[in-house]
Amino acid sequence: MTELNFEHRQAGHCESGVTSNLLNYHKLSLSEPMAFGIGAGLFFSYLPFLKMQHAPVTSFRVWPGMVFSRTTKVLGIKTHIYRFSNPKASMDKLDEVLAQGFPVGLQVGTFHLPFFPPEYRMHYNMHNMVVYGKTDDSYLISDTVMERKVRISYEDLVRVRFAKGAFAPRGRMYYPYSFPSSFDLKQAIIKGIRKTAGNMVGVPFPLIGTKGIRYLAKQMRQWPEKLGEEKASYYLGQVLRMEEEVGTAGAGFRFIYGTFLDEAGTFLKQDWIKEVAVEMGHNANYWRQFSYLGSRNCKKRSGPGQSFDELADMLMECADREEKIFRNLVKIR
Amino acid sequence: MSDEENKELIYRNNRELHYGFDPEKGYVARVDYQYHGNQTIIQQGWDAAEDRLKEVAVKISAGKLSPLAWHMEKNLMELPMLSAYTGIMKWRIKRHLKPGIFKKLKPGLLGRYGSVFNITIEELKNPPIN
Repeated sequence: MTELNFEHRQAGHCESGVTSNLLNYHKLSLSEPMAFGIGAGLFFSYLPFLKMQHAPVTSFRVWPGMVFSRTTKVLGIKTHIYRFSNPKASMDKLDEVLAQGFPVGLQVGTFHLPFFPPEYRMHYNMHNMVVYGKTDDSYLISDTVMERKVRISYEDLVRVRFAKGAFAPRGRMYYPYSFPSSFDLKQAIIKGIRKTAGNMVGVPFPLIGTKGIRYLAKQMRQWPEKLGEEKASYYLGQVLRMEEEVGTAGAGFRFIYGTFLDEAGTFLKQDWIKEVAVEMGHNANYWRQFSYLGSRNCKKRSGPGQSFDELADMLMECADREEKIFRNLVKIR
Repeated sequence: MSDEENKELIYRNNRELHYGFDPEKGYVARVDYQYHGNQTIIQQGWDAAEDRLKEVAVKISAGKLSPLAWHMEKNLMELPMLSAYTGIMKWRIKRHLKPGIFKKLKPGLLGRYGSVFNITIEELKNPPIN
């Protein structure tokens, strides 16, 4: 029986929360928004050729695993990241690392996650949680979605670690093990902001960043005519689910990113960043407004709600606002 | 969240951390249920899944699909995912979706499907439709 003295803290997004909590265990205090911003977690991409749950994929975040690896790398923290093809080997390794006294981050699928609220149990393979101990019959889990610490059996843990489908975790486990005596948080923040700004306005590809938001808006205008009302509203719902569901901390990570900018401005003593943070806050509220009005179109057996044209106009407005914000942020030194 | 909005909540299983921005107070974080707009879109996802399940049930009763189709839909799985879980090739699973071929399947193969769906062979053959 092992039980590490791990502090469970809820978070808006699983991966930045896990990163922040793992570092916190090793006495390195970094807030969740900081971990998210330094790890350059914010993103936008619209991938109409890729279908998930019968609708095109819209993503408001970077590839799974990036936040943890970028944040630790830029701070000079050494980490181990493993993937496995053999479930037994993955569980043995987990036991070994726990016995050495390290809490471990795991990528898991949520469909078979027994402690998860039933309404979230979809085939979503990019969830992250921490194992911080083990008893005779179960593993001790800190999951940033949940209000309290939870437990999971050996069999269930194998099942979620080897969930199949898009972004299959393949037993992925990770943990930091060695920390530098000092690190340059200032540079880490600046690098993180530049990376995100570059992703949002500097990629010459129409489906990525602010261009991607505009592309989605254009497509959205055509949905009712091309797909019919019912399918159009389902496609819209999919966009909103990716934007607002658990794990985004609201408005497609825009609230958490704004919180990061606010903290960054304070830390760097650069007031203009705090002003940009306020703009980001208004922008996030506007995204929230978009999802709120959009969700009325997704209610079963309700009359016609907001027209798709009006919603697309709102998206265009979001793109304009973010273009301005990130063109500004790209200049950070 | 106002009391009026709270009344409409569909899901009250777990509170999460939400970040927000108040034009007066700046950035705020609070722990609460998802607000009702979000709950609506989560429900839409499940309603759509339920509708698909009903459609499949009708096709099974009409003899157009095998019971396997029902369990796939129930578990929100499409061909590539079921193939990855069972290790059975996609074209074989497609054949097993035909009622006539499904009826003749050997217990070994049925067991492989059953273990992925976490049900017995008996349950696999008799999904609770009607």
